[in-house]
Amino acid sequence: MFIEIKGLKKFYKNGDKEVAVLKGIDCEIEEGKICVFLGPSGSGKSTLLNILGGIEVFEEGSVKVNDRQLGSLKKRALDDYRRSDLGFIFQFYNLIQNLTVKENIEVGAYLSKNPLPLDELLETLGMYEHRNKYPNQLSGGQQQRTGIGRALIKNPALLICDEPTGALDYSTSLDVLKLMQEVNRKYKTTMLVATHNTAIAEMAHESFILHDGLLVENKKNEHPTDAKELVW
Amino acid sequence: MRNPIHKRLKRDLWHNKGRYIAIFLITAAMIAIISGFFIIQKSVLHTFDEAMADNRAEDGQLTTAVQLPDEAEKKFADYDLTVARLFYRNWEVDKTMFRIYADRKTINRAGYYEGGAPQRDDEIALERIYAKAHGYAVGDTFRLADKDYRVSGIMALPDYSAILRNRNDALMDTDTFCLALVTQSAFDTLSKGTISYTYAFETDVPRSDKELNEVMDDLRTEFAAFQIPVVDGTVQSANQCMSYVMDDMKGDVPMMVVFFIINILVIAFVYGVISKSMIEDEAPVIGTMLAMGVKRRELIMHYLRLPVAVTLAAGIIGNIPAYTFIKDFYKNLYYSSFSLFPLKTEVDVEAFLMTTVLPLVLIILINLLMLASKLRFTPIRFLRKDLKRHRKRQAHEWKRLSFMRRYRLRVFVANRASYLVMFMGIFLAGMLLIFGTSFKPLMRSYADKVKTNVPYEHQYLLRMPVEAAGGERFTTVSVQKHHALMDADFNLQIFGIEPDSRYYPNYNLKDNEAYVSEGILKKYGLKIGDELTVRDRFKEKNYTYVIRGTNDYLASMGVFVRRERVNEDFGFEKDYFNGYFSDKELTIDENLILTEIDSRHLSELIEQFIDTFGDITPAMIGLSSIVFTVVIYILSKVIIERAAQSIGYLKVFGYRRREIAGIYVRTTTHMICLMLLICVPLWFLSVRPMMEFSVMKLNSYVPIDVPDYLHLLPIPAGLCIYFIVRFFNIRKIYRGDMVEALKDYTG
Repeated sequence: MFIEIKGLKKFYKNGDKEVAVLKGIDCEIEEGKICVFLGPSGSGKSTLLNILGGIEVFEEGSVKVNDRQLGSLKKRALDDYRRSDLGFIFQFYNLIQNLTVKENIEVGAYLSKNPLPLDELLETLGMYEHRNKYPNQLSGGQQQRTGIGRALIKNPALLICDEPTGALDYSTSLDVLKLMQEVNRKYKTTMLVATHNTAIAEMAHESFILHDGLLVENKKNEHPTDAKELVW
Repeated sequence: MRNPIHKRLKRDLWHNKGRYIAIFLITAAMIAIISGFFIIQKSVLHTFDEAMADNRAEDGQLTTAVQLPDEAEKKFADYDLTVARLFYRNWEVDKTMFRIYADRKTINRAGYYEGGAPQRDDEIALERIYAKAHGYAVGDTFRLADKDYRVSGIMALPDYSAILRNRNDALMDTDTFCLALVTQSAFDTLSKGTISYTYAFETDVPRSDKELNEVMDDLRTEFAAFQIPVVDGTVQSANQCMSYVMDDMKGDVPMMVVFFIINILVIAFVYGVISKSMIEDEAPVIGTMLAMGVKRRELIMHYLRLPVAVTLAAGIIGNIPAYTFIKDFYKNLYYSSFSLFPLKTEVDVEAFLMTTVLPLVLIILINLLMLASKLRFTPIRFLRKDLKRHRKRQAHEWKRLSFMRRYRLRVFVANRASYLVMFMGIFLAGMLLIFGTSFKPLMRSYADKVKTNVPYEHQYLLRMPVEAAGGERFTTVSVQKHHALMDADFNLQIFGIEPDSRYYPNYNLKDNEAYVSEGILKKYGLKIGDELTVRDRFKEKNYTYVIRGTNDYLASMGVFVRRERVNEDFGFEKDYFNGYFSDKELTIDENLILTEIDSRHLSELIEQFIDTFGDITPAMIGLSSIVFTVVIYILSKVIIERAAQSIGYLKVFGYRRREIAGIYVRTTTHMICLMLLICVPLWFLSVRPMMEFSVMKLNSYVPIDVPDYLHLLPIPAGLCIYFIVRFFNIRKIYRGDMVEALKDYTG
């Protein structure tokens, strides 16, 4: 298995109290699949993704990604893990405001020994003509495409997407989802998507439903729908 | 209901306490320094005026060759003058000049720090500066003319606020000139030294200086009828022993005010950068508030509150050290140079207002303009964080540069306002450092030049013409020339020299021509061929000479004219003279010598002057360090804080710490190095005029020879401070929380 999670628990301290955010998660994910994590706000989706992304630690259980036990990695090793294996896509794009589109994507390219060709990627993203613009000169959809470009250019083994369409309108959301599906089919990139939009689950290979820090259901989808056919 | 957004001000203050504490400290320090100066300046002026009035400072004095008979002395009353005998004995022992007076009962009464006037013939009161320099206190034994006296008091005299042996001297003699009072009977028994028959007078009716001079001329005529020549005379305003201190203090004011305003402007711009940065960070929030109907005016007032509050607090609190220990620094500075009466420190409301209100006004004005400019965008542009003036412009690609270089360049462009203010602060701090460290070498160089540029060994000023073999005669007169920029009159010394002078050879002066010391050309912006017009303010007459050439005489501002011409211009007889230049000591009746100067003595006086101002150097170095630290610390911190989110993203993506530091810290490192290098030629260009301005108030010309290496001193100083700040900035980067960086729900 590409990802194996066993008995994962995560607590936050709130003064003297301990608040459990993840109360024991078990799941396995195959390589090259699109997996969706569904659940309302506060269900622990983002926390789970942060743990898989190596930016949050956990208290109990084990998390193995691509044969790496994340729990035993020190800070430096976690940095290397994110640098070499991961790409991130965020709900609010999180672009660097004083870098152009091209340079924001180069932020990802710099970390890779074999990045994808930049101009080709810009064309694929439909951003070539906007390459010298700053983020505040772009629409939301264009900014998210830039964010996707930054994540994809290093051809990561794992793409972590936290509400990638959360700030976009329907039409733009569809475009972004189509792009993601295209990338998955072309590069076999494993994608983990956290969302509260249940319609997106139809394009995923597997979906996990979280509620109050627990995994309450998971469904496999043998025939994922094309993103362009999604309706919500 | 109070606007709830103001509640965040306390939180912002706490959250950014490092930054606001730094600004508070530098503002309070500036205010303390300036306020302390004005407190003392005003207090000294007031104390001085009071002392002059209460202790009946003379309006003028006359010195006669011999004591006036009673009948002649009564002539003063005929001219509505109250007179007092101010006889003194002068003698020199081992380079120290002793000038002993009988205790004054009416005019020019002494003011006491400790003890009181001598009551017995074996008691003596010593002038304060000399007493302190030589460790004398009340009760000590003081040996004078082979006799022991008990020190009865430590005092100051209203006719010697500047300790000048001769009132025309340029430099005070605080170490080797002893003024003392003994009882009348003790004075009468003194036989040592030359006696001077000086009569001090007060005018019983209001008179101008010109009228007083006319009265003195009349008295000369009166005394001539008794065959008693008047050998010297002056009115109070022309007596530098009495007027120097006020001229000196007033000369300090413009420089202090300029210094204060420049520093406050730098602080105002630092606030401007901080506010600009805050607005850019909070743009979506501002957009939301504007969309909701909050007025721009309300937002501007909101962002002004913290700078105003911090400045006001600094103004109030900065005045506390001003009134406690800062004023003592200035007091010591003045009181170690001038022999002033015991100081009564006053609350200076004007100084308080100036140091509290003026900074507020400047900070409000500059920030108002910057905030109004930054908040002028529409709500939608704020929501989109689109706050660039030229939105349609696309960025340069800079294809030839590597990604990291381009990233650093972008960081520079995004923070150019901060770097500009940093540059201003570095320039200012460097100026302060160079100024502070060059003062002593400058004065030492001046002392050396004074010593070497005087072509004779001895200069004698006489009370009247007297024959002395071996000397070269000259006539000297003090005149004034107005300086437009300083709006002050400076004393020039006219020397009427022999046509065949061996000390000033080959001048070949025609009737109305003059050689002037180079300092006059530099000070007044004149050149050879120009006319020099000087004024005798008492006779209210002008004299004009054509500048034929220049010499390097530095002991005073000298104008060298044919003696014949000087005698004619100033109404002396054709063969009149009142001085000698010589290479060896001349045999002249001591009673007829007004003063004797040799070049060695001059340089010793300058050494005293240098020691007096020794405190300035550490103070300026301290101030420069504060400005360097605050400007570099605050602004580099602002740059890092603005990039906190981006730094967080880079950490998430797996960038290493040194890579992140290589972008956000190295940019500032490169900029600081570049700024320091750019400032070097600017310091070369600006320090000299600044120093010329600062010494312009002196009644002489000091050539500004700042050693070249001092212009480079700010480089290691600035870099040292920067690398300490850099350590803390890098630590801040390392400590940032990645997860916090992702929690930006404002897009």
